[in-house]
Amino acid sequence: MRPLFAESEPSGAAPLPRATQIESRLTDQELVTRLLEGDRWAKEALFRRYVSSVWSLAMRLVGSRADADDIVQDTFVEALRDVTALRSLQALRPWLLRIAVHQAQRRFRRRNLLRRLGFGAADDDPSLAALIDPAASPELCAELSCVDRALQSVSVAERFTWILRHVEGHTLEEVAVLSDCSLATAKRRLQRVNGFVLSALGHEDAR
Amino acid sequence: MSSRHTAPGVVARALREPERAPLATVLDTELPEASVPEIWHRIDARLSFKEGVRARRAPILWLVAASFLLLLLTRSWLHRAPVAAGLALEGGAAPTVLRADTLAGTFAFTDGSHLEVAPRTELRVVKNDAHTLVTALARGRTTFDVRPGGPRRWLVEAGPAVVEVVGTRFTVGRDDGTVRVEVERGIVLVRSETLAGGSVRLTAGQSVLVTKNAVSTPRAPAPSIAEPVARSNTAPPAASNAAPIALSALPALPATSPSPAEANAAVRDVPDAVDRALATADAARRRGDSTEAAQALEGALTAARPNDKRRGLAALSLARLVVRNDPARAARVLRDAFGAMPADLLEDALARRVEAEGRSGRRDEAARLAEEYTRRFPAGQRSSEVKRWSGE
Repeated sequence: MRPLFAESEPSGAAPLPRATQIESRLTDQELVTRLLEGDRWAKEALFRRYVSSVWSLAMRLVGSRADADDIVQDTFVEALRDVTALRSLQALRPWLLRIAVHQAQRRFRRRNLLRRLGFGAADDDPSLAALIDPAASPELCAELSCVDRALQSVSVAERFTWILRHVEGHTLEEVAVLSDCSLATAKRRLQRVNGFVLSALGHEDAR
Repeated sequence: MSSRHTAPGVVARALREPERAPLATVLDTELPEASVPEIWHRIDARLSFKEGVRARRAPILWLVAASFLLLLLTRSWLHRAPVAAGLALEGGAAPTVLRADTLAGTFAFTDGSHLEVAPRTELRVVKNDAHTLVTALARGRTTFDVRPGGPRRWLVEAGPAVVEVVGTRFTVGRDDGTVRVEVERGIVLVRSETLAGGSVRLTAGQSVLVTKNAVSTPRAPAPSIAEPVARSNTAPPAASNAAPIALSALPALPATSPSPAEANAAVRDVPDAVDRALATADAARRRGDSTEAAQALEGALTAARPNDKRRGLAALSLARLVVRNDPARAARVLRDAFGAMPADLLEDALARRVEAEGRSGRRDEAARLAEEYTRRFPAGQRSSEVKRWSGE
């Protein structure tokens, strides 16, 4: 059985930045221990190890490069400042992702509020179709456009739950943890959003 | 679930098998490697800034916390539980009238204060609550030893005079014509219609005589020149181990201050010759007339009986006045009245004798007295002066 949030193992295949090169052999647990003992380099090493995961998740959640950059900054600032709040040294990755999801929700809700107040443009809606690989087929673009339309009609929490499950590929348990809700709530949200998606894709009895 | 057509592509597969075929595989969301250092520099700068702000905020936060704590303490102090309604005697009885007919006695209160009541004294408690204890001295003499720092203000109404005190030891004596207040420790405030300005503040070693007429209101000199206490030999201090006096059940008097009429009616004449002479000396010294003060003090020495403590007081006061110009006279009066010197003035008197003998050239006598001083008061406050005048 796959462990909940498998720890990302350092890889030596690709050229690594300085801090990662130095500490690529350290496990998450050792890295956090060094961090708690006050080693400043451990901050950068931890950042470099997880920045890609956090940035990609943020990008798929909010669909904007600028927002993703901000979310990454907020996530690591909060994490490195409050690293003592990390209850389990083995839960580093889910802890970071959870912070990122929380930051993305805050940013998404703020953007929705500004739009209601007339300060936002309608064309800055997050879009999965806009993130598609340029080499993808037109059919796939059409399908993802349908998905985008469906996601625009649900709440932020439901949208994020669906993305974590069907875009990120997390298990239901992981989705519940990252969304900071119960498993039943995660299932209910997914069922509702799936209805909208299937309906957008043309299924008769989707809802 | 029946469908008109099946979603042919990746989305349908992702819906069926989200953990095996997530949509992320078809999205281009890789972080450009070139962006990583830039993002880290921003994070590092924010972390450094926050740590700096935190360090700068630390004193402010401590200040705010201290202010909050102070506010809480003040609030709790203001809303503290009320003090017991009234002060009780040890044993629990509420004082009403403290009367001594033939024997002196000591009354101890639960707050540590105690009163020494001389024979033929009647002291009534006219008000006794959480904040004030008011007594009225109808006649006689009482020494009050009030514990400092207590919650109550003590007031002693004695005919024309009202004595106010917070924590001290003092004696109030009242006879037909006069009220005498003597302070041994602390500070008291004596109020009277007959006093110049309506009140006088007494410190340790000072005394005042309140009479019917304003002209006969002697007081001690300024606090910088501590005046010894004049004790009356008509009412010796009560022995602390004397048998306690039974409390009578007389009702408490109303809590009112004596009116000027009452005060005047209670006063008939000035006291004996010794008190008159002491009062005259005090008045003369306040005017700066040392000659008349010295003459009045000589009169007090003459009028006082050999064992009268006021004789020691008068001798010490006179010695202070004349020791520079006439040290032999100072030495003589101190020597003659030394046996009547009050115990709490003994150290000062002995030091003055050393000074007087030394100034008058009697080195041997000064040295002998200095030895006596050192023996009696090994840690005396005037040791350095004594050594200087004895020629050590």
